[in-house]
Amino acid sequence: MRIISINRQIKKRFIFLFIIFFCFCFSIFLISYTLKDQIAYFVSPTELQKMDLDSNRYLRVGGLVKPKTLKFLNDKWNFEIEDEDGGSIKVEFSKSLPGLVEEDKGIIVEGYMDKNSIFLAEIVLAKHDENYMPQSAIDKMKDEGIWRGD
Amino acid sequence: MIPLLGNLIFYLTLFFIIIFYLSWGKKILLQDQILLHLIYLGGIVPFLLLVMGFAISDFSILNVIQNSYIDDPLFYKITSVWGSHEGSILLWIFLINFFGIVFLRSNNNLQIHKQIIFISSLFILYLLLSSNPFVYVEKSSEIDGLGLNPILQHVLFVIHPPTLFLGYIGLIIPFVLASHILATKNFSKKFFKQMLFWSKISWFFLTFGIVLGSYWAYSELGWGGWWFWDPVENISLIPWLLNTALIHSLQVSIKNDQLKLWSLNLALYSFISAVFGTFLVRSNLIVSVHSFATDPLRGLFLVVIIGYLFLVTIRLNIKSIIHFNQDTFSLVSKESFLLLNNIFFIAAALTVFIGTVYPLFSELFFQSSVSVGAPYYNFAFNMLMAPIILLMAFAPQISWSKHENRNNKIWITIIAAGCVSMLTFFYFSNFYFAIAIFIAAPIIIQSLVIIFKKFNKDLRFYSQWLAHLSIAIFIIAAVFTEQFDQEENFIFEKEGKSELLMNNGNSLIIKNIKDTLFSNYQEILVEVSIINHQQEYILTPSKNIYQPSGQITNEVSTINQWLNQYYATISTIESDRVVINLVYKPLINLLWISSILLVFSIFLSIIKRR
Repeated sequence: MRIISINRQIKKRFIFLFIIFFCFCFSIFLISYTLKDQIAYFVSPTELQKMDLDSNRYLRVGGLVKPKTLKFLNDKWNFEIEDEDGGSIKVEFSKSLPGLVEEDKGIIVEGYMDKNSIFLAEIVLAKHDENYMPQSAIDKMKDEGIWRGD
Repeated sequence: MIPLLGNLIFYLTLFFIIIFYLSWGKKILLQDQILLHLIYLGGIVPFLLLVMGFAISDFSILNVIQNSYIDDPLFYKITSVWGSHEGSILLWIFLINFFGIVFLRSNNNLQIHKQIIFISSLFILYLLLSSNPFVYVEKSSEIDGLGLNPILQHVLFVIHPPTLFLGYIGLIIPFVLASHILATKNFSKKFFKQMLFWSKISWFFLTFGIVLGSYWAYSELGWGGWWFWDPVENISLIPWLLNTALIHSLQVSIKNDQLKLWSLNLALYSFISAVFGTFLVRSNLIVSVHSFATDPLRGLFLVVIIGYLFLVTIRLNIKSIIHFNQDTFSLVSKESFLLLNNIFFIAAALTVFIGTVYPLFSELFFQSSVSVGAPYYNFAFNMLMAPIILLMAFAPQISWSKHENRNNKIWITIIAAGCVSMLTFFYFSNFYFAIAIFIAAPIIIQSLVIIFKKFNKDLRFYSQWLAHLSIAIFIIAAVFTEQFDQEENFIFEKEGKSELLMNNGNSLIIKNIKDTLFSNYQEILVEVSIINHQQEYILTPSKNIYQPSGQITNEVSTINQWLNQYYATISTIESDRVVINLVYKPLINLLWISSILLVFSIFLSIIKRR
């Protein structure tokens, strides 16, 4: 008798868990659906040029700083970000740039596109990892046969 | 010498672990915990060896060559140990075994230690197979080492990673305790008390580590400020949220024998979330600003470890579903409020989790690369935290397990909070800040009332209120500093004026440009001062050029003005002009003070037990 009732209780509990699981999935769906516009899209300059401009959309753009474009003009940093597909985009940034930002080096910026097709960056990110070493050092290590990287 | 010794000790340790398993059930070897001590020491010593290797710049270790420079100051040399992936895994193993040996003093249950050892052995295997820091190279006299990444050369690098790791790995003790309790079905109160103690220890370090990391990111350009919802920040927040929930639900389990299974399962998931987070950032599956060097093999091994932990957990989950406990408490009681707190905390953790892994899914299934940024979290996370914070004001006073009617007091507080928030809205005309005041005010009001009313209560009582109060202060400070910061660029031309007027009427004077050579870097420093009512505040932002890489870092200089701060950087320095970027961050120091209070509050509740 007791075993049967326990089984029933287990069954009840599983139904309960199933309902929770269903609610959970449903709420995730709702969250992701409603927040679709709040997600910052990660785009390359080429993609950005093709996009319909919606100036309220928060974007993240990644690429290389185009050589000879990094200048401090009129109270702001100006530069262009380019990618392998040939696209490039003008960027303005009014704060100080991190030390790692250099011409022909990778960069990630976040911000909004303005009406004149200039990207107004609010944040410039500097990626850092443990393998920052200069090319000369890598060459030297390769010569000595102790280089393990790619 | 050191590479050989390091490898040898690890293989010996693995050998001991095998002996430990083979002799399971045979009491001879296990009786006096010599074997257990040997295994734990075997996990501890290699780390110390590597520390020594770094300290004496032993360039027969590849890891030392790659991460340390002969002229680096000694404390950077030593801390370079955890500057690399290999070293941080070694630190991870060291801490697992360290916690194991400390835990041995208060609980010598072999079943529990068996599991710690097993997890530790998985990490040791991982280290030996995919990221061994003890790789020997022929000594070459020319090599001076490549140096620690300049951007990591910061005082906080010395303490932030170990503190955070202590927090992550501290969760291993609740994990093994919970799985032991679930496996043996021995729900003794002693175990729960130990669990609470260790999750508090972990919470202390985790909170402190997160605060330190936040402060470091704040003081470094390009890391997005004090909180930026970067994956690395998120994955430290998830275990924090779960651990916070765990500490709350354990109170119920210990005091009233309820929510036991709930707490146990939370303990399991807290540790898993910590390991899983490490896996996410170490495998480079998710792009972070704070990226780590990676290779696919490393990720694969971590998957194995997580797979194991998940299997253990899911097996125990199923066990605990079938196991019954009769939780009974009325709707308006401390228990139900703590349960509610738990649900919100877990939901918040899930929100962060979804946001963090969403880019991965979108990459896999929709072929679109997405990064979930601050707007998502600011909306979803804050929506979930707001009710928790409102609850925090009232839940602590509701008594255990019985229904009580004190509604009118609650309403008075809420109305008072509403009035204060209306006033702030009219005064500052900022919607977000008014909302923050509305949410935080009840806690502050209640805290004041209670601290004056029940002055002679014990330490535990104070630690709880202090924790809640510091959260309230934190919210006010965080919203205020984000909403009211001001930023200006000042251009000093070579032939132009050396004094410029600021927006708020103060003036900024450029005083000096210095060029100094240090042992491993050259510093170009600009000295500027803010003149405010005859008081002078000197700021010294600089650009440093590091040897041997030639990498430039842009160093921030800050000066405090009571709770506010000026934050100066060199925007550009050329032959004919210097541009200084100055940000005024109001109440930012209140944010740090409240964070330290939060850490201190848990410290209070830990020491009262001893």
